[in-house]
Amino acid sequence: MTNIANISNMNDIVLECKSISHSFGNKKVLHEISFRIIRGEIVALVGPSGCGKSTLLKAMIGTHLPKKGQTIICSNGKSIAVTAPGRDRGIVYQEYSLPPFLRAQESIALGLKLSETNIPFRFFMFPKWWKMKKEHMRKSAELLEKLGLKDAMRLFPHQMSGGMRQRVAVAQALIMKPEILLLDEPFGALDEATREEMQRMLLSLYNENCEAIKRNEKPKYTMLIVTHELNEAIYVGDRVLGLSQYWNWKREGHAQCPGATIVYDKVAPVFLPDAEREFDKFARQRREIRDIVFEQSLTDNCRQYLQFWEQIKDGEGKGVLDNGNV
Amino acid sequence: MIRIIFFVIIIFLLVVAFLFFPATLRYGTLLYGLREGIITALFNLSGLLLGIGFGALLYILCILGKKILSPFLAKLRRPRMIREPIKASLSLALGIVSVALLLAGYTYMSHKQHLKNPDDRTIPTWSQLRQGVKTIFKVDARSHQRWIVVDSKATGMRLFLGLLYGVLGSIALGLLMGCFSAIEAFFVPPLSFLAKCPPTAMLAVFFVLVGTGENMFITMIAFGVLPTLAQSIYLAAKKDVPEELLHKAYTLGASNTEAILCIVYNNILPKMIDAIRLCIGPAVVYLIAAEMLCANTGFGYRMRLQSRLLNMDVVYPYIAILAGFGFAMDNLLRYIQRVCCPWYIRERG
Repeated sequence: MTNIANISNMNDIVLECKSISHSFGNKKVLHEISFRIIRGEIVALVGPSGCGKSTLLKAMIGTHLPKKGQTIICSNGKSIAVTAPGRDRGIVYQEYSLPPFLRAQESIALGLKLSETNIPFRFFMFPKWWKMKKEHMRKSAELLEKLGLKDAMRLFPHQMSGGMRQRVAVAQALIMKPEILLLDEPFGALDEATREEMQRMLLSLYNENCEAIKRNEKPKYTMLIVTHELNEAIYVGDRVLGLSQYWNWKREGHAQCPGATIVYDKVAPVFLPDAEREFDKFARQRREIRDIVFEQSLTDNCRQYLQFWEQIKDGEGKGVLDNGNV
Repeated sequence: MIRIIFFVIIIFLLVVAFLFFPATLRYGTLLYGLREGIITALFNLSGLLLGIGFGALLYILCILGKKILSPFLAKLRRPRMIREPIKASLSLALGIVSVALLLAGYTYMSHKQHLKNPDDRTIPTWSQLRQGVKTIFKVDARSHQRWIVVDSKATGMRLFLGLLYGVLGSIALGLLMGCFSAIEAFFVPPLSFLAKCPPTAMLAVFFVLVGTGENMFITMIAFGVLPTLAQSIYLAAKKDVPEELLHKAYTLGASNTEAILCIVYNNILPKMIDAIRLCIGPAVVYLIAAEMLCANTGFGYRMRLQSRLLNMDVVYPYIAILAGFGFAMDNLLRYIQRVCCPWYIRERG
């Protein structure tokens, strides 16, 4: 891996996966996964079904630790090895992200309640807790209003549409100001129009990152989105990571497949949230990803497509990754 | 032509004379038999014609009726699917009819029994039942207390305390078992075994362990409901809370205790209320059975005593009060569920 310290302003690493390998019994799932995520990026992780995308995500969250290797998270300027889920990593799932018994406003305030208070405080210092609760609800209402969900404040999850639910789930994670937001196929169950609306919402957050960098501030939102939809990966992400079990492991001296590994890592074009989607722009990259990541024929030397850091060095990165920008 | 008409008239008169003036013929002759045969045939023929006419009339009425009634008939003929809803008014009417049938059936049986034996008390009449109710509510001459007050107090307190301990224990145990694998592994075998032991059969064990006082009844109810209820809560906590929701809570900064109290508990609260609703019935059964065996106050004791004296006019009101209590408790819990878990009711429609 390229020494990132040599690349100006690109050494603010939020999350790093170090040689992560995992297996379930005899079934090897992940093999030597290593990558780093720069603050402010939206990284799209793609891969064929069953390649271990969700397993890798669980390793990053800390719910299922890998057999080998570790995830390092940069929290408040300190690098910490991930051993359990924590509030520095937000998560949005395809389903069940929102507690069914809480209204939208309460759902968003839940994070503030859990992180800023504890049970004895809520029990014994009730008047203080009551005041804090009011403040939490106000913050939650503000965020909902910002996301255009003012009318959904009093709704339970089952009363909301799929798109509304996911927007509330994103808001619920973002109010905690996590170092990185991990999204596990968040728009998989949505219709095309809603999906596009949600993608634009992520791009608007990315746009805020770019604006922050221009102001010489730290970008607020770093995201890793797991998806199986290539258009979405290239459109939303400024970088695409491809995880695949179809790589030439014999070349590296393995008798059987040691699990999926990263076979593709390149920058992706950056779009503005309101700009038209130009499919021609990413047709070439899409074909390339399909051939390398999804094609079952084993790519001879898959490592040649891990070009992200070289591309950054060559100034090919756009948006947050644009060296001239920062 | 005149001759033909004259001939027909003559034949007609002969036939009339032959058929309607039997005195002209001697009984037992061939002509007499022939006449009888013809009359019978004519009657049969007229019956047949009448039947055909009536049938045709009905057919015409049916065709006309079908045109008018066809929309309603179409509704009736449409195959009904299971769980297909019916109108609220029809549902109410069916409910009223079922209760009315029950009361009518009882009244009929009581009436039939009293025709056989006017002093019968096994199936008391409504007036006898009224007397029974009065007996329950009036001050008893011997004890100077009202039976209903004494018995309700005793049974109610036993049931309340037994259920309180049983339900609280079950919630704590069920939640811990559903959330921590070690506690689950430790408690699943004994609970599976105890859930199959009838608490009334274990009465002797409770005699030995806690004596024969009020504690015995309370312990029996608590231990009677605990294994089953704890298992229901444990399964709900384990299976009905998506892992994603717990992981999400951890990323929001929840501790284990907060994850249990804020996420798991709230998520399964409506199912816990349903499970508690289901365990009230068995708890009452255990208590009444135990009171029948070894108590000197309470509903079970009174019912055993009065049924021995064949005072069914007292026993039936007691049964009705118990049923009313169960019904009230069930509705109270449903109300609590509606108020505490509006999301569950709306989600389920």
